[in-house]
Amino acid sequence: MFLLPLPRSFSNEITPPEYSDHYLFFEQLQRPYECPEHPANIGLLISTRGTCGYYVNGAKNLIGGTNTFFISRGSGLAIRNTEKDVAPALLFFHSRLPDLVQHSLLYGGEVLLEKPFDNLPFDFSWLERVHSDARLYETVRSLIGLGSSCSSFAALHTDMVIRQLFEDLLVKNQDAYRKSLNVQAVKASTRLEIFRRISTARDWMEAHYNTEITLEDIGAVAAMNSQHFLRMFKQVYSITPHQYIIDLKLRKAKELLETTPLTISEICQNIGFESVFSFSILFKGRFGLPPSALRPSPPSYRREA
Amino acid sequence: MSQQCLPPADFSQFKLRVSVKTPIENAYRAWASPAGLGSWFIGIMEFKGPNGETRTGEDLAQAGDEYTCYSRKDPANIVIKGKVLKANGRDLFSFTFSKECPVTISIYTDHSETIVELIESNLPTDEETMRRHYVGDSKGWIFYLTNLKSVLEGGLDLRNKNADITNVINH
Repeated sequence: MFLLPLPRSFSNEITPPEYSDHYLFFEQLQRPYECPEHPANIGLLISTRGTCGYYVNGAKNLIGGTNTFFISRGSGLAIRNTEKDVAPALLFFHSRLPDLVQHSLLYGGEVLLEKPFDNLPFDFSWLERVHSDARLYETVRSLIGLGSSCSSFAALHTDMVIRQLFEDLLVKNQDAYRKSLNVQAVKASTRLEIFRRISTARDWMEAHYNTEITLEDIGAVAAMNSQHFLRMFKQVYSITPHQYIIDLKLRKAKELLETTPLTISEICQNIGFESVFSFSILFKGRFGLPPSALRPSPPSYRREA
Repeated sequence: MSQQCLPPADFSQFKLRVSVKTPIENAYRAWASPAGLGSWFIGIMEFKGPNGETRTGEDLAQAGDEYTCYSRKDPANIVIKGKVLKANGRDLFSFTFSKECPVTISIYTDHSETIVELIESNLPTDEETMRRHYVGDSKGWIFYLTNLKSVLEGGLDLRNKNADITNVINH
């Protein structure tokens, strides 16, 4: 992987740049930065400080916090950043990596080495949106340190991290594609757009599950009428948004029970449940055990309400 | 000697040797077993046999095993994966490493001491690969071979154990 400062321009061509390695462009900006629209290659865009304006196919995406924008090959990317002290980081994958990973996952490493494959078609556009995934963000951010590290075998480790990252993304993309097939739309482009909006709304639900949110709120995030959103969400995930949020709360509660000393009533408050009683019933229904059974063994964690 | 007479430099492989005051079988175990590698190398090593069976502790890896090396700081993080190419159980151990290139370890006696010889070969010779793999790998191996010697001779484990410290050659 090459670690480079932000260039004046990524490409003047009408086709995406060909990267012969992974490229991570990173800079702590001391000045406003602007990069004209160009066809980008497949990559991940974050901002390690402040909020960066990434314009993808003309749509503005303000990326900050632990959000990551996945950009697909061929999409138009412009960067407009008028603030100082913003630190954008753009990771573009080796141009052959998508095909390499796809091929090796399907056929194994040995076939990968033996058989040439140049133009396997693979559409990553199912992932092209903002992802609220702290682990994904942290992995990309960690590459900034690894890329400039003098640690023994740092280059090797960097390549492995990127490879793992891409394998995970590929699996997510395949999963997204499978789920998208549930959307009853004639045109593939319509199905993709509906899936993208539903996915954005789902990410938003993940980030706001512990607040009071209504179907109208989520529908607005997806830029859809609430009833239409409800139908589409159910088609994609086979459950309603309400059921999805309850499940999110229960999964989060399980995590808190297993990893923190919070009491059950504190956890209820934390995840936005008003009644400990109904929480306990739902929890047992979901995981087959009462919440108290999932406390870690150290006695210090057992201070029930 | 004029410059024209120099043989072309070979960047497709490099050889490193280290002398270690230890029996050959100890040096072999240090390369071919999870416990041995765990005592001096980059991470936590796992070998899996052809039927998915995991080699543990002092079990010796066999030719055809797949290996995965996990980061000591973050065991969910894989540092490198590869395959054991040769393992004769005595003095020869070979495995794939960066760019799937083979690394061959030969262990023999020289002047009453054990020599561990490492050859990384078949490296592509384009400029980029040379910079990252010929230079990067040889630097990495020099530290780890030094640590191998230190650990096997009963000295210090030179690896960095402080998780807050990064960007140091001892990892």
